[in-house]
Amino acid sequence: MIEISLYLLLGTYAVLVVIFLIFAIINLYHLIAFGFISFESFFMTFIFIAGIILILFITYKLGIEIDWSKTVTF
Amino acid sequence: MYFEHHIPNRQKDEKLVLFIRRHWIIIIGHYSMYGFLAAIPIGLYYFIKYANPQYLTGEFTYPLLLLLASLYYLYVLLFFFHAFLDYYLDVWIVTNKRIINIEQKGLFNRVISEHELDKVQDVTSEQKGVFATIFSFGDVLVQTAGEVPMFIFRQVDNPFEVAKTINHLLKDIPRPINPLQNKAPAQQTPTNK
Repeated sequence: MIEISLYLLLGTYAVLVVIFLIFAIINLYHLIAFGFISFESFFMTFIFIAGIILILFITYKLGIEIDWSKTVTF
Repeated sequence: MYFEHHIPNRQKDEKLVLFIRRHWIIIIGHYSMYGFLAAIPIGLYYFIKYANPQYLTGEFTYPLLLLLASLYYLYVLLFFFHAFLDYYLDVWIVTNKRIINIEQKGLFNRVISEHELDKVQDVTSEQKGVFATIFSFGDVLVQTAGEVPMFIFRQVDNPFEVAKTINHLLKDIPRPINPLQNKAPAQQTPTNK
């Protein structure tokens, strides 16, 4: 019998989101440091940041209904 | 818009002639791929809904699928943005004095190489394939006498026009005299003694 807490899933998710955010910041840094302000770059940055917020918001809205303290037995 | 003061190590009286990126169809091709990748979980959702609907309500599988889908979309978005950066930050600049090649290779590698126009030996342009012909993009190969033997402007818009412009610039610049060319006829002069 294996017991897995849903917190383990949430913890793994959090770690991968942090890694994602590090790469996202590095990408944005590149655009600011080496790129230049234009409508094109501004628009793409807006799409990127808005996309991140939207995905995390939807995940939060759906995830809040789950009881993460549960333990699942296989 | 790329202003002249953004030219790296700009020299006195240096003027921007060409500022080139890859053709827009290249980035559209990348975006189409990411659009397809974004559609995969939607297809999978309907597949699971009809094949194994219990996975969408399972106390372990539902949270797992939710978090996997969330991570998948976040990373697809990250690669989508990185594809834009790769396109946007790769530029070729032609001024009345130099050719500058700026390339973003991955996240931590940025290469800026440049050549004086008087080091340019040959400029060739080529358009290969059906798409390149339809959308009028191709490569411009600039052969130089410097450390970097060749600059390749990859998949740029209207390569023949770019090559023509560079060739026009080459005609206007004074060429340094090659010492080997001066010595060669002297060695071949016959002695009639």
